[in-house]
Amino acid sequence: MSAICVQGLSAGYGGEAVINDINFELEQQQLLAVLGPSGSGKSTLLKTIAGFLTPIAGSITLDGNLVAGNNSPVPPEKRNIGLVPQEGALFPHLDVSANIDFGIKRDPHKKQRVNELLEIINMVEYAHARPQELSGGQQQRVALARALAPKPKLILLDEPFTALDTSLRAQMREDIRSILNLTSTTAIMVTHDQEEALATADQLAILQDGKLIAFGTPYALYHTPESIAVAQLLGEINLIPATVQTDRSVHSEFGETKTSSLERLVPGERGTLIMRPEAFVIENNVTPNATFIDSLFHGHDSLISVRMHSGQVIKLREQTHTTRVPGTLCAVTATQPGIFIRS
Amino acid sequence: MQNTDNAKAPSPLFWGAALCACIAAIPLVYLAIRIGGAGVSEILAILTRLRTWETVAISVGLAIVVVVACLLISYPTALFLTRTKIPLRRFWFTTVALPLAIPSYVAAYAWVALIPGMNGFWSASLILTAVSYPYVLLPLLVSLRSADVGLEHVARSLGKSPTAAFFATSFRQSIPAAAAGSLLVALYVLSDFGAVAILRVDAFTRVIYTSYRASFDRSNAAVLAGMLVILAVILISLERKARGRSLRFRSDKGVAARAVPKTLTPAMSAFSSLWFIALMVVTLGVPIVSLLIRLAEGTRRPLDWLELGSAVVNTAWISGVGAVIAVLLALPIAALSSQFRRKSSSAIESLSYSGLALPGVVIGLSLVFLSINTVPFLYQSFALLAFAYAVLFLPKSLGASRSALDAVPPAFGQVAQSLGYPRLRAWLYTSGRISLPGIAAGGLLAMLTAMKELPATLMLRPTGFDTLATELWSRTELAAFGSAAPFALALILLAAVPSFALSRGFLTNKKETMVTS
Repeated sequence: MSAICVQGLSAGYGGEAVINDINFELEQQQLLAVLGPSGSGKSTLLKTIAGFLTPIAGSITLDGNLVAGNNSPVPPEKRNIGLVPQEGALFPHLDVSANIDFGIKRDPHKKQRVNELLEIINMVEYAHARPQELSGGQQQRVALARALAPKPKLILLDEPFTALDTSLRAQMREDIRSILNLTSTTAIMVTHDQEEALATADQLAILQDGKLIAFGTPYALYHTPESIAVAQLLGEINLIPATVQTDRSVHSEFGETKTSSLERLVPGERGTLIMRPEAFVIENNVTPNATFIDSLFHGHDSLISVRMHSGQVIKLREQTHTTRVPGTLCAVTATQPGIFIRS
Repeated sequence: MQNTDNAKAPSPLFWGAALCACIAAIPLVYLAIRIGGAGVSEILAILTRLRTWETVAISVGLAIVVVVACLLISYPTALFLTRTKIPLRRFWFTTVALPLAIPSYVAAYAWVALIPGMNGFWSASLILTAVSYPYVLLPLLVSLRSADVGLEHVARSLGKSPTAAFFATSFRQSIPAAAAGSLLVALYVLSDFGAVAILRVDAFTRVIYTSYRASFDRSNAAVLAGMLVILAVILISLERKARGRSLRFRSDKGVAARAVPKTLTPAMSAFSSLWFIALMVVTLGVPIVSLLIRLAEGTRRPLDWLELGSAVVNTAWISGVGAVIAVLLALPIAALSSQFRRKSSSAIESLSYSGLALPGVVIGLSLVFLSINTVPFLYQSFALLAFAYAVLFLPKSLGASRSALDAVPPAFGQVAQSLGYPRLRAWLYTSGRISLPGIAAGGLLAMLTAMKELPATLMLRPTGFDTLATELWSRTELAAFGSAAPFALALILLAAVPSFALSRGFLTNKKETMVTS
């Protein structure tokens, strides 16, 4: 049984839909990242799942139980969904333990549960610290423990890393993943950072203008995006005009390349080839077909811009950092298949 | 997650808040009914009377003179304090706000006790300026202190002289703050009853009170009260605008450069000391010395401790009850408007601020009319006086509750709900609990302010029920200055508490660290 199933969901404010016809299903113990630019409806989706907004249409099923979509939606306090808001929102008048046991006041084993969680988040020595005394990362971990305490069916994380320094983020990402794994919790995380979404999630949902434009594993969406918009949201791309050659290959200025498109291709059709920067290499001892423009050093690699003789600008990644003078001639070849999108 | 922005409020909360706001609006509505009842021809007769327009001229003139005087005092004082190294800077910083602690009628009494012949327009201007200038000075200090002198540096680098750079940047940014303060002063002057009554200036409040007392011409009192309310509403809406603008100038992003205080020349240093000493002598020294003289004199006759004691108890008791009612009326309104920002909820909120536009004398008048005409058993009852206090000081309590509740992110309530708490309990355990100190402080502020209230108390108190303010008043009327002194002193001590808190809040300008950051 899926942990959460969302069908035809529309929701918004004052009768005006912000999210439209959202459909997806998430397996138990998986982490779904909802990625989208600000204003795309991510927070609205989260609020609707949590129960703070009543859907205009559609339904939400949690663990096989309908919680929204009929006449009497289950109120937030009865949904058993944990919530980790932006910046944690720890109760400032309570210490760490009191924050964590807030949702399990009547549980006879609450002490034990709090200690268990303090151990999981690795903060046993902070049991009686005040939220104000904790670092941003610690606050996030306590907020997660507080949400986990009543053993929720689902945890919602609203941009959990935005308040943290870049140096802390990678660590927090790992921490949250391992805490969720350790407690076998299903989670939905909202983010606008594509790198974060790719690195953290088992499943990825992409929202744009209130519509779910893609859903799948990060790997699949990165390598076989269904549209240019999806490809663009997940990283740097090159768009190259191309014509279908056979049902498996297309022709572009880089010659005949295979394509991993899922659709059936009809020879002669025109369209666009989406190619990631890592699909190209620069070679030196081949007849030049491009002019070097610029190179941005990123540490682990460099993002290089070249202008093909056709006028097309191509961005590509190069692991070694070679110093070139702008205007130098070079040769660029494609080494990986691209995704063909019909125009 | 953002606020529950456009979500609909639960209907018990909405109707509860609406009911509270309507209760708070009773005096205003009844005043309108009473004026309407006077009939068009009578209203026209009053409006065309020369005396009516004399009253307008005197009140408006007084407000203008006092505002100008406050500005003339506040700008140099603020500049000395924020931009220069004057001797005893810290000391002056804390003392300049103290005159707020002196109720206008106590100051007026003290001056009259010292110079018995004192009365009239210019005396009233002097005394009202002395007690109200901190309303301009405090926001001005905040503005000049928090002004980003980085802008001044940019102006300097673009070729302006230090003075020109100051006028082009920090001064311009301080205008909205000064304007908002000035409008508060104008409102204070228009609403003030005690000082103008003691100094026999025929401003609105005194004329309203005397026509009410004369009792043969109560329509005149009602119409004048209506005009006063209109003036007050104009001032309040202008003040809102000015304050809105002064907030827009503030940006919380980045670190603002702070001005480095300048060392003064010896001559300027001496002048600044003289300035502060003169200011303090006029605003604090004279009233306090006069009081002490009268106190020493008064002790020749034995002080009636019982009378003083019962006045203190009565004052605290009635003000406390009034404040509790004010908080109870404020809570549903604050809870509604801090959570649900809709047109209907802000209309409810504005309605409940009507106390701001109703000077004590107007509320007194309206409730006298109301009780005599519709509920005679409430006339001059404890309950009605407490209700008058509640309406008068509801804005104070509401403002405090609102800002305390606004400081709590709505995410807290949502987290509590997701952890299994039903909506009302989730609110009580998070927003309610966290903002409790702020709400209580608002109630306390309302109570301490109510303790000083004079005209409504005079008009509505049960027979034989005396508060500190009414005891002082009746003794001043009889020119029994000596025996009035203990009451005046007790009032100053009481009033010192909220003004101390207020000035501290202003000067430290610290934000409540409600959000864990």
